[in-house]
Amino acid sequence: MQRISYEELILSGLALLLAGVAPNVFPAAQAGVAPMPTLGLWLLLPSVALLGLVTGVAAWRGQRRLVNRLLAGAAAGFIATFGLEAVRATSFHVFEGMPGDLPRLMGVLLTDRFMLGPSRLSDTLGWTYHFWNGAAFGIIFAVLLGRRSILWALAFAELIGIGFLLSPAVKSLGIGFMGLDMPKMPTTVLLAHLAYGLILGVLCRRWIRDTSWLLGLPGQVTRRNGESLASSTT
Amino acid sequence: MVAATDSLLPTWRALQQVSFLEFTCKDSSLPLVSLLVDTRERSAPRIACTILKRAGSVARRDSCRILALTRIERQTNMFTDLLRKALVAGGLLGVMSFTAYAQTTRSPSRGGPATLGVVVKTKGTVDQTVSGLKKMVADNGMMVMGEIHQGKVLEMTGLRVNSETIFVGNPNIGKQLFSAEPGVGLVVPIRINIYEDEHGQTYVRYIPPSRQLRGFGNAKVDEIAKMLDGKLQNMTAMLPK
Repeated sequence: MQRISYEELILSGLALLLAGVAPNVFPAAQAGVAPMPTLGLWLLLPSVALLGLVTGVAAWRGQRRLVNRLLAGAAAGFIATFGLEAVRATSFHVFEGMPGDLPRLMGVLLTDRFMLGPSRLSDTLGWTYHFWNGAAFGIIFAVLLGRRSILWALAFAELIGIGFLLSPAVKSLGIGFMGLDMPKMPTTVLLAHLAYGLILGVLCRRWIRDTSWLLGLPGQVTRRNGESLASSTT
Repeated sequence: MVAATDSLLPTWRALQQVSFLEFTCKDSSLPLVSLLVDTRERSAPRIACTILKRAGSVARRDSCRILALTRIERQTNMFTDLLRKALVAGGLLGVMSFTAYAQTTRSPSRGGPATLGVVVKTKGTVDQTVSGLKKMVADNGMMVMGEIHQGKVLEMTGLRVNSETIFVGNPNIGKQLFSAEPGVGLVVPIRINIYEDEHGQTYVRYIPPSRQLRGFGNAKVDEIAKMLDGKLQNMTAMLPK
């Protein structure tokens, strides 16, 4: 197992921070922090660009483990969102289990055209944002937990689901605390995130090469890859 | 008393079709106790015994004997049942009629209650009517200040309706109105709804500004409101019927 360097630790921290921006944009807008187009322009887009930059820097600095995790996490999260969508879309279109079409809603909010309803552009942006959120959560899982077991991925995904249910985004939909006034909704959210977690866990285990995980590594920090901090100071 | 209950059970089962039974129980030391029990209640025998106990009957099998198990006139029960069923059916019918009436009055096909604004039937689709109306708005010295595509917004919830609302006004008229009464923002710009009913018929609907602005009790506002009424009437009159 390769030890972690300060460089990798800092880049990982930056990646986590930047990946955490996108999923918080929608709840923050619903909480009244700022309008969604403003948050999208000044937070979301820069965070995506900077995350790309961090990945580039990591590749340039030879941080293969981190690059592998970033790319594998993003890809796994993106694909896992299709699993989530299979449940969510079925529930929405067949069982009326959701109060609205969330990706389209996020699209009209992002483009500031709620009153005019969805357009091709708003739909494209809404879906892109939705899938980017999936990829961002995939990055967070991959960087933090690497290729931990599928159970970890399921727990991680359910935490996201519960977090969403507790967020101002659900509160603003007017369906009660955690959507409990519309029981189909929390059920859908939890099932959809279960599907997301399952796919994310399977793909991360397949694509992430290193078996270590970030939270288990701080005790083994080195100045450079493989060079122990303790040994260099003595 | 428990033994009495047990001994009664077969009797109850055998007389399931009887609605009510009257028990008469005699304790040697107590006066006659009579009670009426609904046999459809599964716990009826136990209830009967409990009531007897409360009435002071001593819990000795010999001392508490059922002297009569009288069947109450079935016709009376049938009559009560019939009456109850008729009442329930009547109630349901009433609720259904009211709902149907409420739906009819809300239905776009009838144009809604006559009191709720002016309704104009037009030819063409909602989109065509909106385009036509926008032109009429410009021709009448007004402008479209905003619009809501309710149909598209509601599409995100899975509901399919064809409805669009435009807000029309005029900076000059707005200036006059707001100068006279700062609270007119509640009413202006004027809201015009264009919608399609379930038969595909398109309607234009608005509440005349004079009716909405009347409440401010301001003569100047009333005067402008009447002028706005005229403009709206002109606009809708020019739409293809």
